[in-house]
Amino acid sequence: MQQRISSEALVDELRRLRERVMGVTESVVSTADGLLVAADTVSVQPESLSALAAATLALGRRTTAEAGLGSMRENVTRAGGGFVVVTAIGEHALLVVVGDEGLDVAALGRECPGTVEALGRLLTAAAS
Amino acid sequence: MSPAAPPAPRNVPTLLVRLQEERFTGAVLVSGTPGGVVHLRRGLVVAVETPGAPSVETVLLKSRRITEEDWSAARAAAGRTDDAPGPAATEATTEAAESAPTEAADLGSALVGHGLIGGVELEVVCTAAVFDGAFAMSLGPVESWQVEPAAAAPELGARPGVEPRQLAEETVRRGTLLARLWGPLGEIAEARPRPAAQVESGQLAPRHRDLLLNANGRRVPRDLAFAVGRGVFPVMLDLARMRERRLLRPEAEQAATVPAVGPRAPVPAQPSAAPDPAAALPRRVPGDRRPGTAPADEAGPHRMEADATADALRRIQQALADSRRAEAARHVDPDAG
Repeated sequence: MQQRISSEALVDELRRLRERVMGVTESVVSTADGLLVAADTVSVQPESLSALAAATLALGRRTTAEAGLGSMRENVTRAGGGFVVVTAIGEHALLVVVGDEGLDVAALGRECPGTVEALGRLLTAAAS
Repeated sequence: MSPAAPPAPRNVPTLLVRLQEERFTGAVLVSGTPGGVVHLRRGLVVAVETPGAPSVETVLLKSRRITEEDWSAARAAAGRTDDAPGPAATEATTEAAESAPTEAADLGSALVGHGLIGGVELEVVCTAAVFDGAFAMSLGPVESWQVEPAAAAPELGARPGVEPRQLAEETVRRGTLLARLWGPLGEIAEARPRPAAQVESGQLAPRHRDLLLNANGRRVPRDLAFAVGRGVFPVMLDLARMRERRLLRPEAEQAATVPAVGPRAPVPAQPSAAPDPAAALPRRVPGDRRPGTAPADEAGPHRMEADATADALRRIQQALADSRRAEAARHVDPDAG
């Protein structure tokens, strides 16, 4: 059996992010074209969220490029009931974080790079 | 350490008492976990914004006391100076000369003026949010703080506000009470309760039932407070009482499986769409290939993904161009104005 992505390790990483950043409720890792890889969710549909986040990421990249703002860091959508934050993990994957109204956006900004790096490492390790 | 300057305050409560003596108006930015912003107006605490506790807005909207549409309408009205009903309009003009940041957008008056909430009830909710925010901030360590006189006034604030000394005393009282009922505060804040095995919901108060329905083993009390639109302290107090009644299983089960609620299928451990065990990520396969029938070649999927994105963008661009053209046509049409 060749090595596969350890979904458990990815979910562990997602859970750590949820426990460290106040207000994170659910999160998903998906491919850049929207296929589900791993999920730490209870109420959202991870498959649907993956697909929509892929579109969000692509659109955000094009929009920031159009506005001449350089490369996109993350896409933050604020709604009445909370936040959805989409961040790229390298070229081929992405991270979606769903948070409540009180999401500690500053803490997420601090923690996200580490999480993205760890997730990227897990994905790359599984690919090689 | 010049003798002229008073010693720096030891902690935030001490700082707030000193700011009250100065009749300070502005904000104290507290960094820490959770940290937050304490808004003062003439030395009194009018609002506490923190990720650790639901805001007045969250309490009113999540509890369905006010609908999202009504809230947005009131906020839009508050932004317009000519539509500020209620006594606060005159009050604001007399106070404008004294306090540096004026409350330009008086959302509170608009909410009351639109008949969405009574003035007294709003006052109660705003004051409760100040106490709850301070309590939530007391649950974690404070790293540093910064006094910001030029900070914008909060959108909603208690009037006239809470005395810093009273706020500090109440925060301590709350902590002591919970510690007696439950245990160390840090432990309570980290608890992720679940309902006990058998709970007869018939005997439950509605707010206890709400908490049980939301206690899924992932949410700490703060998360539950946001989920039901109530303060963190009242939620903790209820949880403490429910724990005494053995309605909860407080132990945090670090289960590897993701708890699923509702009728949907559980999350697959490995997405079934991955056709090639060597491939790290699941891949989209072209329509004429079924998953698992043929090994995916290396270059194909990524190129396809890029094509799909480009294709989606082309369609979005087309749609945007169409809508722009349609709008331009409306503007040209003299009958449409």
